[in-house]
Amino acid sequence: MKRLQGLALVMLMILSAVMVSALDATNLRFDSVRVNGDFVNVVGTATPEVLAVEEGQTIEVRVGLVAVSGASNVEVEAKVGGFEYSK
Amino acid sequence: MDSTPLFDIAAGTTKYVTLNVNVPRQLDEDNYWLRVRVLDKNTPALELTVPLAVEPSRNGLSLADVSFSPGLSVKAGRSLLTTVLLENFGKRDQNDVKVTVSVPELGASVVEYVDVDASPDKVDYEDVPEMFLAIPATAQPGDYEVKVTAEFDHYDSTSKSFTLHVLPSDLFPVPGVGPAPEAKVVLAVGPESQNVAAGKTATYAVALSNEGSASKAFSVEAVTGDWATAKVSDSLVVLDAGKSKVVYVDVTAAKDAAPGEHMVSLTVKSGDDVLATETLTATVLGTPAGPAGVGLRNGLEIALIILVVLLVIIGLIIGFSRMKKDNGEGQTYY
Repeated sequence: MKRLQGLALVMLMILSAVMVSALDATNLRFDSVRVNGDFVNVVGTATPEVLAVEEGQTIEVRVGLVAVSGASNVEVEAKVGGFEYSK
Repeated sequence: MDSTPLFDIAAGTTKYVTLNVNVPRQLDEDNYWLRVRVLDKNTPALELTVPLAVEPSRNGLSLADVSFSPGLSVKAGRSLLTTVLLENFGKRDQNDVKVTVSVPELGASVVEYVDVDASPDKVDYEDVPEMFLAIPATAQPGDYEVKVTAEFDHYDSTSKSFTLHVLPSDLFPVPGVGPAPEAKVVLAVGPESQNVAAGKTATYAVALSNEGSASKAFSVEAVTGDWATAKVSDSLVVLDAGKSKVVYVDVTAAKDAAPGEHMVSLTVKSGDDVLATETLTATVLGTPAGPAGVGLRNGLEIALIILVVLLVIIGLIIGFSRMKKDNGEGQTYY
């Protein structure tokens, strides 16, 4: 049993190392998010907001990105999914 | 969905990007997530989520489909048949929706009013009665914007634009554009056959009518053999469409022209194209004129007249002589 726990710990450490490496590689984080000109609290913040929107409406999303040590060939996409014909 | 092109971010800087996401009309009245992802070549995506509560539109109308017949190429002077399908995706009925099809540059438009009910199944469709948009016959060939607009709920409207290609009109051809109008000329000659004495001139009147659809220049030529010479009063005639003009062809028979029937060939051309030909006939009379211009017949007639006059004079002389003689003999008896 102890041996199994030790193996799991090692696996966790390797996974963490990979994730840290990935974050180091992108070096990116969201600085700010605005929807239709207003700052919003997204999921993951203390008080996430639910935005009421009408179907057919167009939402303008403006995000600020920070790269601590720079990043290249970056792209940003925004999408609503989970409905018929969403592809 | 929307996405940005690739870009770089320098160390220690902040870059802002803007995306426009359409909330699809196919969504149910429910909660959805708007997901924003940052991607690069080979590292895990960075993602944030904005929860959305989707509500149906109060007044929602769109142009679901627009079709044109015979298509988006039409000749000037013809009509463009437009069929519009409206989609009501809102919660409320839409009454008196004003649907306009217009070509603003040509000042042409057509309007229809239609009611579009809301459907409990979320979306309802309504066909707008077919609309005929007359393209002016004088419209210049080229590309024009066709705008289809639906105005509803007093303030809202939705529209789509298309490009219409206008072709040259059959009635008002534009010089240098489209096929060249066909040249057509009609000839009328009166009379086609004439008698002419050797050395004399016969005149033929030829009426030219431009039956084509455009103004044209016509050249008129008359060809004879050695027996005569021909001269045309107007060898070059310019006629507007539907107009006519008479030209005269003078055919002068040679003094030594052989008696009998001779032909004159009349040709009407437009550029190098022969449009019409006509054959004129001239009959040269049998007795050529004498050197003094007096024929044998005329000479005999004159001689006969002179003879008659001489006979009359002789008769008068004889008559007067006898009367004198009779008067002298009567005095002797007394």
